[in-house]
Amino acid sequence: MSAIQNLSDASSREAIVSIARLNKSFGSFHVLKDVDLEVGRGEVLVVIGASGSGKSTLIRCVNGLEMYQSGRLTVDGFHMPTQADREIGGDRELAEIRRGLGMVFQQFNLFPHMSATDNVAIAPIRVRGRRPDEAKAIALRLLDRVGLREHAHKFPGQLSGGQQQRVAIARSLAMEPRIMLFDEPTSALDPEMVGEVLDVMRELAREGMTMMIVTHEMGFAREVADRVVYIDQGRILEIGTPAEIFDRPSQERTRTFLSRVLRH
Amino acid sequence: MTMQIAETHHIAPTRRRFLLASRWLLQAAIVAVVAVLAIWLALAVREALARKGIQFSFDYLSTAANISLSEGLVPSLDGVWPVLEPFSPSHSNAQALVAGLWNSLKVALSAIVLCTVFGTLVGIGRLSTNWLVRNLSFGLVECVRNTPLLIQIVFWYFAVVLRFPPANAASNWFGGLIASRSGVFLPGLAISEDASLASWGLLAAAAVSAIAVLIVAGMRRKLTFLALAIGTVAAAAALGFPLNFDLPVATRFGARGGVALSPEMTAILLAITVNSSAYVAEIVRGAIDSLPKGQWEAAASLGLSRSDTLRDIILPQVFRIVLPSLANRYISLTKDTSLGIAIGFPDLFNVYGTVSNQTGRNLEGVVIVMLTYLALSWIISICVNTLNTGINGRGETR
Amino acid sequence: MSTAALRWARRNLFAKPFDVALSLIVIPVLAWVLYVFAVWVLAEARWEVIGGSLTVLMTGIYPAEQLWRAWVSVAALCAMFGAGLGLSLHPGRTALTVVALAGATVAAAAAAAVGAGAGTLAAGSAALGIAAWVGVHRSARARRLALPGLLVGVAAIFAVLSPPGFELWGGLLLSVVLTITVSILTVPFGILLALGRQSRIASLRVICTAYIETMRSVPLILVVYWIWIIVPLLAPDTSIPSLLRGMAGYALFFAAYVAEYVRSGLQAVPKGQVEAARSLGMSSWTVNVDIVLPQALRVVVPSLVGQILDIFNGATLVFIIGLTDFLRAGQMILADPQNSGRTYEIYVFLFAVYFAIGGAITFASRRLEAHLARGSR
Repeated sequence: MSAIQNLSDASSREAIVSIARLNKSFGSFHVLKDVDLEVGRGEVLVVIGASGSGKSTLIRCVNGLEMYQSGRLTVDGFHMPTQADREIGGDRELAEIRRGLGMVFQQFNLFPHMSATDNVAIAPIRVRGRRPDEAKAIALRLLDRVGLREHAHKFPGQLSGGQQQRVAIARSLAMEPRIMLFDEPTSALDPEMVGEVLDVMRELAREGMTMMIVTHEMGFAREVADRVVYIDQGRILEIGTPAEIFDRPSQERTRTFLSRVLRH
Repeated sequence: MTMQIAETHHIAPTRRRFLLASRWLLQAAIVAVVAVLAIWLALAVREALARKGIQFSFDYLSTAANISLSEGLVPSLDGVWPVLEPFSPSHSNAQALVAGLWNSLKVALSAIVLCTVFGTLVGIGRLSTNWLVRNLSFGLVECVRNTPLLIQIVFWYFAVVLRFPPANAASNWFGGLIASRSGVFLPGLAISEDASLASWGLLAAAAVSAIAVLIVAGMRRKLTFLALAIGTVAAAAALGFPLNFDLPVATRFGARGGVALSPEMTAILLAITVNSSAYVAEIVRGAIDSLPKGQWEAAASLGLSRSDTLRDIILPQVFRIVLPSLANRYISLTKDTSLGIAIGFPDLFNVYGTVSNQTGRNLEGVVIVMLTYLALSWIISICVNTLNTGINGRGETR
Repeated sequence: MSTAALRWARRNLFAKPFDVALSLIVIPVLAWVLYVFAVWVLAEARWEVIGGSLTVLMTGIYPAEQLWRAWVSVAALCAMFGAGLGLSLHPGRTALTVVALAGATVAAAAAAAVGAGAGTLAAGSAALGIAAWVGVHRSARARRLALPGLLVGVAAIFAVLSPPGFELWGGLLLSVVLTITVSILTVPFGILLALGRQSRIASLRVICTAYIETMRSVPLILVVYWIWIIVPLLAPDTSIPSLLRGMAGYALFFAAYVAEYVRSGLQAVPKGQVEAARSLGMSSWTVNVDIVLPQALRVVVPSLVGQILDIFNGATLVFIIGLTDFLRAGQMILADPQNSGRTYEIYVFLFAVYFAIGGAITFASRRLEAHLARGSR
């Protein structure tokens, strides 16, 4: 879907992720400051910013890997617990919320003691209670979708970085998530393997998956994103369509950042 | 752009209360269970003792021991001055335990120093370019680590030390060392008759100069201090050297003079030193191996020889890595001294056993001995940790 | 061919001046030591003392007419050991020949020392062990049964050896059975301690940490002795055999070390693994059992195998509670006046056996570590 089309649908789009006045600190380091953001269903949101700006922390808060201190974070109809809530318990609720969320990590985090097929199948078996043969069929189908059918029996140690990341995407898709989160999915890859992963992500976007992506790949962002968010020192400095952000940034700092990143 | 906000679900307040309550209940339950167990244990033991007519008390510590130990010194008062005197049956039980502790410490501290030196050498030997040295080191380490320490102790005692020649037939190595089956005698230092304040002062000056030679930088300064050291020593000798070597002289049953190590202590010291050296060797070798190959490569490309690389680049880094493992090894070594009971060496555990048999005070004794070992381990950990932070804090950041 | 040897010597022994110096010192000393030792072993030593007391060395004061029980246990131990090998080591041709040779040597020694009957029984047990090794390695079903089989084996050994009385257990058999039993007991206990130490519940964490730190600071001999004393005080009406009290002491001591190994194993699993697993919605149980534990075991299992050696070496301390293990049996034999001159023979024999067993355990632990590391590549 092109960006222009999105604009007309935007107002009727239901917010699947709603972040209101979110604050997060690591000890005394205040890393996210009063963040307000909404992500619509089916929207592809790309988050850009310098390292240390808090963009990874933001996306990790969405799926509960980081705990936030104050504000409201609602994901797909569920209210995410704050740090205070988490200290009491509530792990079971969190596990349930996470079934509808998929997360792809910069370091892939594949389970090294399982084959690619098992990596993809384990969650449907354990979490959704599917039968092993059913789950295996699902796994093979998904691996085929990301182009790795012939490598299904291999272990992560035998796969390249790009292949591992694609397995990781298939693994998340096996849980049929409604939202997919990507934390710098191609930053740990050799340049020649970035393309194969971006292809898979492009395909997902085309099929209407709601995606929040933290990335440095500006070309990809321009092509696929419905909106781009620029985070600077823990605050959302600018948000808009790719055309608005990349071609006509209104903030000085956005311009500086883009000029540094887009130079090479 | 406005969007509809979907309906929100919270963690139900009832569930939240349930989670809080169950948390506290669980904590309370665990504390209660442990408390009940501890109380039951204490009561059961007290009842058992009462049935035997014994009461749990530490009074026995001040009563006379009526046992004799083959060696051991106790602190006691000679008028006003604290002195160390040999243990005798009229000393109290508490002093008996102190004598045992003293014996354990003698072995432990000596072994710690010796095994660190010897173990490092063997560890480096494991990486030697000489095939024989490399494999002999490997063989020694494997022999020691794959067999129980107890058999090593017993072997050193029965098959080595007790097979030494008797004292009057033993040869006098380098004029000062006698190794006999009644013990090993080393030269000691004694204050000679001609000692005077002046000669002591000169000797102290000589010592300071010697240290200065090692510390100060610059060849000229080093030479000046060296000359000063030699000069003061010569002057002290002229006046009458305050210290004398107290050389052991063999007699029929042992030797007179010098520092005496009983055969039991010799055996256990040798056994524990050799045993711990093997472990230290493995620790050092592992640490050297764990350094990135790039360190060796960089040193080689700078033209440093293998021994220079070892001394200036590798070992300083290795030293920092091995400290925690060495601390563990030293603690194990201290605990190993408790095996002295197998050859009659009166270490802390042995003395505790003897005292318990004599007085029936097993449980009180165990509490004391356990606390002592805990304290020793703790002290060793702290010493090594201070050394660790001292080294790491001196700006050598990783 | 001799030029090749010369070249080798030149490179390995005389490459640098320092090496030359070392070689010139070490070679003559080593040659002299080996010569003296060889002469002693072959000519001067009187080895009959070993043959005559082999039964005592192996089984201590166990009554002679009940020795068949000991043989049943030996067979069971060989089978269990073989099954253990089958789980980790491939029965290749070299490995099989080595083990077969070892078994044959022991059988021959038994035959020479005790009699043909002992020899055949020893050979039979060795064969059983090798069969178990190959069987477990080949069949997946056998592999699944291996762990419960181990427990059944230990129970069977206890059942068959205990009727004459626990006080009569002794010798090498005692050392081995104690080692295996304690090794098995410490694993579940140690894992629970490790989990308790990581727990979110503060009181549990403190208690477990205190227990672990105490056990690591006090000597084993003290713990064994103390448990041996305190158990009769707590249960004055029942008489629990020294052996069982001793095993409890060993288990309580070594469980703390197992807890530490498990802790370092858990720490070795990268945090990203837990994050990925949780992101998939897995519950704590699934995360720990399916993702963390298999990866942690890779670090833990080699340490546990190494600890088997520590327990075996520590088994010599049972003398403090009045039991006669392998080492003590040797000393008992030396105490007999007619054997008083045979110190070196007995000790060399004891050393050799301990080294053979210890070396085998160390070798197995190293192979296991390499095998597990390869699996993660």
